Amino acid sequence: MKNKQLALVIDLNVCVGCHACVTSCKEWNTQGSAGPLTDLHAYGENPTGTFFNRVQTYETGSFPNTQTIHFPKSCLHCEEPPCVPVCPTGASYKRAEDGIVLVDYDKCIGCKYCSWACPYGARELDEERQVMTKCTLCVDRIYSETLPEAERKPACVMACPTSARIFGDVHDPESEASKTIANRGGYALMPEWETIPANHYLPRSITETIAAVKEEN
Amino acid sequence: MFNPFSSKPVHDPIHKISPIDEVKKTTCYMCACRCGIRAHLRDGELVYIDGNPEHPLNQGVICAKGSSGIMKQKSPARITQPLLRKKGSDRGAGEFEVIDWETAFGILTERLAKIRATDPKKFALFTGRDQMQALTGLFARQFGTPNYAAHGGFCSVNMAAGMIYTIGGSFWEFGGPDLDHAKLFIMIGTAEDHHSNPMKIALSKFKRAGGRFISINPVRTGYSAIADEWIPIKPGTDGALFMALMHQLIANQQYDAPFLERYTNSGQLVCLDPGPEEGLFLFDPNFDPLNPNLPHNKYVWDLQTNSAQPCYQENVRPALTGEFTMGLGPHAGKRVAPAFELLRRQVKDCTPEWASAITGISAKRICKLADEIGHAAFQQEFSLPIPWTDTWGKTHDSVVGRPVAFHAMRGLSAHSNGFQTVRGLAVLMSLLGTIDRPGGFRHKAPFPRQPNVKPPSCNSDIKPNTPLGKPPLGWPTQPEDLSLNEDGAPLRIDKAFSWEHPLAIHGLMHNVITNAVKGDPYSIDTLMIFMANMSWNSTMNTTEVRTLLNTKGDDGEFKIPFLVVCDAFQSEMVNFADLVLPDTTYLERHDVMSMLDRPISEFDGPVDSVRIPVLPPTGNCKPFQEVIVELASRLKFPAFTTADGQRKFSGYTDFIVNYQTDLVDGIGFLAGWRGKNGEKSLRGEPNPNQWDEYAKNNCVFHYQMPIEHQYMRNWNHSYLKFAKENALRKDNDPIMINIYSDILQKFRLAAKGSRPGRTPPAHLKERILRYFDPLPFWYAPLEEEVTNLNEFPLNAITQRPMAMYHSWDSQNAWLRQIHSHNYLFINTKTAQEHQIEDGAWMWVESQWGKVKCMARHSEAVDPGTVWTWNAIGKAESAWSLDPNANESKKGFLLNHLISEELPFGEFRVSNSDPITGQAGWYDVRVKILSADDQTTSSETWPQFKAYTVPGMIALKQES
Amino acid sequence: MQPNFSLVFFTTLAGMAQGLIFFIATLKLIGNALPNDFLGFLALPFGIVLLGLSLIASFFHLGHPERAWRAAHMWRTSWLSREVIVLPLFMAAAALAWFFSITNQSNNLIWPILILLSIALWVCTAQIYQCIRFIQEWAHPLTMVNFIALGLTSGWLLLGSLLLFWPDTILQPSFQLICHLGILLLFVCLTIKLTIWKRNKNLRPKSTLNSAIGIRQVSIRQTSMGLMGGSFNTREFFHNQTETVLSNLRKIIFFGAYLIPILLLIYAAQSSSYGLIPAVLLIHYCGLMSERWMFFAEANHPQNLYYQRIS
Repeated sequence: MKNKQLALVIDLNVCVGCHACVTSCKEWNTQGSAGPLTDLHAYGENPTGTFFNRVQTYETGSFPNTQTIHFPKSCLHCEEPPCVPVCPTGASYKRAEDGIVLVDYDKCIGCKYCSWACPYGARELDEERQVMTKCTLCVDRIYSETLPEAERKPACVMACPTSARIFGDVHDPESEASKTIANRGGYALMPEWETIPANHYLPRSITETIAAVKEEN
Repeated sequence: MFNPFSSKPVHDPIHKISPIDEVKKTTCYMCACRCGIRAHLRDGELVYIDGNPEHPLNQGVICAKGSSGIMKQKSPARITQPLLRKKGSDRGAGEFEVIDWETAFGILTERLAKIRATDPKKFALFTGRDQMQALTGLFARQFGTPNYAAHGGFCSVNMAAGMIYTIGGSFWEFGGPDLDHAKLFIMIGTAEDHHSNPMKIALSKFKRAGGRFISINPVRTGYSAIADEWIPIKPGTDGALFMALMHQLIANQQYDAPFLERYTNSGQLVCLDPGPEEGLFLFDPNFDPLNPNLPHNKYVWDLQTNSAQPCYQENVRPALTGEFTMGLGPHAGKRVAPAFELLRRQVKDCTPEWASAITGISAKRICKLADEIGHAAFQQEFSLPIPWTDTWGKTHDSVVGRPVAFHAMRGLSAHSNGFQTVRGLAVLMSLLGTIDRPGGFRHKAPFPRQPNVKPPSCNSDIKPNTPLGKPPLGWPTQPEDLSLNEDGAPLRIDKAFSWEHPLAIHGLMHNVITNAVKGDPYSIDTLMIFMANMSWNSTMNTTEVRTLLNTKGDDGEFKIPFLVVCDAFQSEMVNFADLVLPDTTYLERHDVMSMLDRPISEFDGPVDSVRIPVLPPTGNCKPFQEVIVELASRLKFPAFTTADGQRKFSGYTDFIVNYQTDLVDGIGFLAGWRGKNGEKSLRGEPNPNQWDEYAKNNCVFHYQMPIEHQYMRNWNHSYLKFAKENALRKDNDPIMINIYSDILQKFRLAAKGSRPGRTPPAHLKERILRYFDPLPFWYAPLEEEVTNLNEFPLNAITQRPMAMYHSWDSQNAWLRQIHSHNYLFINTKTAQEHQIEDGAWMWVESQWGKVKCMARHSEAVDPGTVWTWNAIGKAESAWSLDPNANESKKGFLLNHLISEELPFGEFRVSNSDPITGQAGWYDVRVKILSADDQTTSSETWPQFKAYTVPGMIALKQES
Repeated sequence: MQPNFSLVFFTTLAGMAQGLIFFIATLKLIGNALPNDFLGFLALPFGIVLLGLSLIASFFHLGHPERAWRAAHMWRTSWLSREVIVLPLFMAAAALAWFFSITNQSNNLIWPILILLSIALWVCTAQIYQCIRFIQEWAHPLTMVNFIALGLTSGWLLLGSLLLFWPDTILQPSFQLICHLGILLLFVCLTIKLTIWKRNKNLRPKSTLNSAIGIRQVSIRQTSMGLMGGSFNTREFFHNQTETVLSNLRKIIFFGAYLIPILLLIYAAQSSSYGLIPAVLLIHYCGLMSERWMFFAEANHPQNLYYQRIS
């Protein structure tokens, strides 16, 4: 039995790009053990801040056959994380017990080398704290002793209105996460680099028009 | 232990911060969805907000805005002190002095009392948010002024009016698609912002269950992104699509005839003879009308006996088509036709080819859509084994389901052809037999309802020191219900319920300032605005309005002498006020989402909810509702004063618990835990502990009706009884679906001159004749008639993103990082034809104004349309942002391109729907050009300034 | 990548110091040409100070320089860790060599140690960049070869310049050798650089928007990266310069780092105007700084696929 690997499965078939995962993550983590998460020029020109999760938008095809794709992106907690071996202090580490990749803020020297080694741009240097930060899979929620058991999940998973984020152990074939990946063809990003991301994405699928009408046309 | 060679983590990722020690529940207010939330505190400080898993509306989820509530609370744009504009300073210059509440109340009480005692119309109260209307409407009514409304007339009144006049309900708070049972879901003209979380939850479940989702919209974003098919459509042409779909369905016999015969006025006989009854239903004097306002005693043509029979008879087979002559009786010899026959004739020429030329959708696709809809409705029919009895006493052992559902919003509404377009959709949904049936459209309490209350209709309805006998807003059903004085001039400052906007059921907020300054129909003294940014994004022709607010008469006084603005934040509007009243945030106050207003009901029953303070008010902020109750008490409104002249309510919470409506006793603002011991629901004596009960129950009360009450409610006997008993409705007669609207026909006859009673002024006769068609039809928006379409070939529209609500979130440090400025989205080919590159500076111009902005190429937009996010662009320094913030320097407002008036012959009319007055702000036509100076243009145009005001948190932090 | 000036200074200064000490050690090994007082009072202190300056420069690159001691911890996996160990070792060895020179002791072990450590330091530094397999411009042996070659070249020119300031005229290597070997080294560097530039130009990115988001459609464009005021990912990985600026910089590099030094050295050798050598060093170093800046700027990180457009 392989070691536990906790991860998120993002369902692009129902993500409407509402950014709930972006700000619910921000508000949990800025007050939690991973925080604070800085905002610079908060009310000025070009406001910028530390977020662990971003939602992007892409278009494919050309009018009228355009697809609009909303794309949440956060650390993929790779099984072969390229950001871990390059870190000189050991601040970037992958937990053996659950596969979560974390940054130890008290060891990090802010050299940014790990962010160079991440092909996904999943890491952000917090400008005020000058340490690298990234998605922690809400490890402080998962192992919390005070939260109700049903809520020991990442903040983004609790918040997502379309349930587009599924949380679980991708090494456990019986978990909802694994089953969804298997049934719906969940895939990894940039497989060419063999980082073996633990997070997977579920592709779009089109529910076709009724057969009778299809034939006619 | 400090061990330099250890590999163990030094930072504890789990227990570094102490756990949260307190959780308080309340209701979110970052948008109008009103999800249940939990506020988490640590040492008394608010640190986290999430969704309440036990709340029926959002079931624990929360959106980007709700998650950012903390930054709203901490926003430096908060105003915290009452302010009075310094004498002699200009409006808009932001020169204020801080005063205390007692002074503020004193000023207001004195001024309002004087107005109330002389000419109550001179006080106008308009609110930006619609969900507080039970209290603000009560205030206006008790004051005695008709000049009251919320923002619906600017926003989506067509959606409400078009559907409620047809089926007795509408989308969003009033009803919606039953996605639990639907197989095909068609979303039309819906932007990203409403109705938010419940729609997201339902849509996700629907897709995962294998449902097919089609989105019809000029733009593909948000919900439309996850549609299985996107059908681009030209803005303002959806009505043509609906006409063609009805044409196809009728031609292919794909309509629910039994449903139409029994539950709609399709079979009811319309008189065809010219004269005062032309186009009206004939009435049977021998039968009880049941409801004198909307009488039921009409006829159908019985195919068995080949004669006219009273409708609603059990053993009658009503004809839907054909033309007949009335036999012996009170209407002998009159030519009649069933209403459905007239609909059939109306859509006869609305072929898919005809609609294709208008909408840009291929005729083939329109036919295919009709086939899909028909297939879903009829080939996938199912039933639920729920027995129910209809209003005529017949028992049914199941409820039929036709699993095709719709949802629509502002894309249909915000056009000057919106009412008839929405009516077209409602009639289409009715042809399919999907009204209040599983898998189709379902009402939400207190709906279904039909028009019953009327607004004031003559001068004598308005008296000094007297509450209005009729509420300021109502539902006219005939010209006599219009708000006109003896000369036929409008009674209301916004001219709602006049011949220019007869069915303006939500008022016309966007006309108030212009009309008041012009003194047309009259001038007012005091304008009080709550949470409405009428000098910025809640107006058309922003520049003009800002000038008007500063306009003075010959006597040196402002044309609107006194302007009161209540808001929690320094919006652009605050600068223009004479008196500023600082409101609290939603986390600092009690609040009510009431059945008397727009509650958050579910399909299965009424739901109302409250807000309970999580934090104390900041500075000197006072909840607006407290201000209203305080003013009402000081002005000694009868509903707020005891018989011996004492103050009745100590404050807002006392008012909510103890106020009961006049009409029915036992009905108050909150439906839950009524009765002395909280044992009654919906109706009962006031319960002094009612607030505590809500606090103990997630701030929400959900009354689940028995299953027999949950469907076919328009005609469900026991439901109708229940609804009347609990004052959800005034009456209990069935709410027949109006395929044909004789209400509209009455106005048409008045314009024709063939009807006794009120007639419109000469210059509006043609207009009313044209648009008050009792059947839906499509016409090009009014703006197109006065636009050179060759010079301005493109449509320009806006929508709000999911992560920002109106102009409200630019002062939110997190949300503004997601949307700090906006681009104009243009189809790539269209942009290239105009040599406008991706990201380049450009001009977008209408015949009314021009704006400089940046372009963004997109394939997800129809080539004839350009669009942007509304209300992202701000005035410089508004909302306490830095003067060089992106919102003002790179953001822009499309409103500058829109005019609130259109030339109409030698007159001017409002740029709005001729039936409801809904602002036609998606009608504007534009052209685009590349800007010459790409490198030197570094900011958008036009630019405006706002100013900081005393008492703002931002300033306090500096000092 | 966003070029970082502290890294530009660090790698160029350190590389130059390494080259200097490498040649000093080599020359000491094959003969005993360089006198102790030259080494002890000019060359070695100069090299050590350069190393010190470059170390200080590298600290500016850190968010928490006070924790820099932790950086040696992960030597088992991290090239940066190894560099953090090798650099102080190299400095210590250089200091030791300086001590021997000052006290006129001879120790033949120190020179091969210095050579090995110098090479090791080049390898570590280059590997920091080369081992990131996603940055295709860097993940090639030419990166290391380029570092070493430029380090050797700049070090050799530095040695030549220092010799000029030493009054003792009987010295090996001769200035003719300085010039000729300098020209050869510069020529080799130029060849390497041109090869690298050609390779970069013909690189086909392994990552595309298709693989980045997993959508198979042919035409994908980003319309929004989910933020509008910039983020760490839009600052750290983009140089924000126009093509014109880059093109001009390549010219500066070509002429400044290579061609003009070559021509000047040829002239210096023919006309024995060895006073030009420091000028050559200065021009070369300016070109070298540009080269290093460009080294960062030319690197296209695959994460950039996710950060293309705001709207």
